[in-house]
Amino acid sequence: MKTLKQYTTRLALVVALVVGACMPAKSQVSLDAYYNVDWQFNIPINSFVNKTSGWGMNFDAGWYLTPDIAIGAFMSYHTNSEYVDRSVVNLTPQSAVYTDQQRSLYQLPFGVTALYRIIESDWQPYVALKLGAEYAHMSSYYYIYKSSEDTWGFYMSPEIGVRWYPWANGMGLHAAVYYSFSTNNGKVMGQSMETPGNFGFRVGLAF
Amino acid sequence: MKKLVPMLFAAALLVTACEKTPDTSNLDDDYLVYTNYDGDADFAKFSTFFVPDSVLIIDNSSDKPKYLYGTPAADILIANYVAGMEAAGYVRTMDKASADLGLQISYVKDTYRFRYYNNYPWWYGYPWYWQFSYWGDWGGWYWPYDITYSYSTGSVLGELVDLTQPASASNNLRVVWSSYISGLLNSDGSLNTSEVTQAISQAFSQSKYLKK
Repeated sequence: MKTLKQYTTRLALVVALVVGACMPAKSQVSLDAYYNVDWQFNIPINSFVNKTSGWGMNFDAGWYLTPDIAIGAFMSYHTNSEYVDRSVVNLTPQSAVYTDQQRSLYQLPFGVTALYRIIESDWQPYVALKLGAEYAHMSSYYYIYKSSEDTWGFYMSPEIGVRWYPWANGMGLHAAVYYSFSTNNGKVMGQSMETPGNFGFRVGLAF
Repeated sequence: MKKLVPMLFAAALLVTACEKTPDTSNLDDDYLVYTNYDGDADFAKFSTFFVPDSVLIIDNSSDKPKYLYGTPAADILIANYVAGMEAAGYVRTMDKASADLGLQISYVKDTYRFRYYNNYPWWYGYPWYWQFSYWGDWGGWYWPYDITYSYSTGSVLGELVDLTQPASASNNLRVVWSSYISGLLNSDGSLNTSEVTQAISQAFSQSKYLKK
C-alpha cells in the first residue's frame, strides 16, 4: 500500500512537471526580456583562496532575439576567505616572513551573455555562456599589516539553469550551476594565483 | 511592475556590489618574524662574531642615543641572538677588531621619530641609529636588499654586518643579514621574554643559509 502511494505521488509529480513545462509562458514580466538577482555559493578551484563561501551575488539582464536565443549582460561578485596557519612564507629568494594570515579573494566578473532557452513555458531551462573581464582583488591580512594586489583578466563561464514563473505577478525563481575561469594572475605573500577557476550555484529571483 | 524591475535591479546592484572584509579575529596576534639577507654573501666564510653589550633603544629621544644595558631585557635579547649565532656554528669573540661579523641589536620602544623616516630603510635619517663608525673607519651603510616592512612599537631588529671587508672612507659597511621581529610586548608594555626566545630562535630557523 505504501509502495502504491509512493508511485502515485511520483507519477503526479512527473505529470505536473510535464504539464507545467508545456504551458505557455504568460506570467513573467516581459516575454522579450529576463532579469535575475541571485545569491551565489562559490567553490574556488586552484585559486589564491580555496575555501568555499556564500558571500556573493549575481545580476543578469537579457533580451530575446528569437523565442530561444537571448543576449544579455551580467555582473557578479564574490568574496572567499581562508585562514592560513603560521608558516614561513618566502617573499623573495632572500626574504621570508613567519606569521599566520587571513587570505581573501574578491572577484568581480562582468560582461555579455549568450543564452539558449530550451523550453519556453513557465519552466524555462536554459544553457548560457558568459564572456567578459574579471577584476580580482587578492589580499592577505597578517599581524597589523595587509598586503594586496589588484588583477584583471579575461573571464569565461558556462552555465546551466532554470527559471520558473509560477505566479501571475511576473516574479519567478531562478537556479543555476556554473563553472568559470579567468586569466587573472597575481602573487601576494608568496602565494601565486594563475588562471583561477570557480564552481558554484546560484539561486534567486527571476523577472 | 514592468518599469520597476530595471530600477530594482539597478538599486540592488548599487547597494550590494561591495567587497566583504574578512574577519581577522582568528589571527593569533603572536609575533611576526621577517628576515632578509645579502644573496652575494658567503656565510660559510665567516667564523667569529662580536656583539656589543648594549641594545640600542629607538624612541622619541632627540638629544642623545639610549641603550638597554645590564637589564633583564637586554640580557635576554643578547643571549638569544648569541645562542642563535653559536648554534649556526659561529664563535663569539670579545675582540671587535678581529671579528668577521658584527651583530647589532635594536629595540623600537617608540615609533615617534620613525614616523618621519619610514622609507628605506626603516631607520634612515634617525639621528641616533647605530653609527657605522662604531665598527671601524667606514664611509657609510650599505643594505644590498630592499627592506619592505614598516615598524611597530615593541619591535626588535637584529643585523649582521660584514667586518671582513677593508674599512675605509670610500667603503660602505655591508649589512648581510636583517631580522625584524614584531609583537613581543605584554599588555603592560614590557617585553614578553618567552616570545622573545621563540621569535629569535625562529629568525635563525628560517635563515638556514646562516651557517658556518
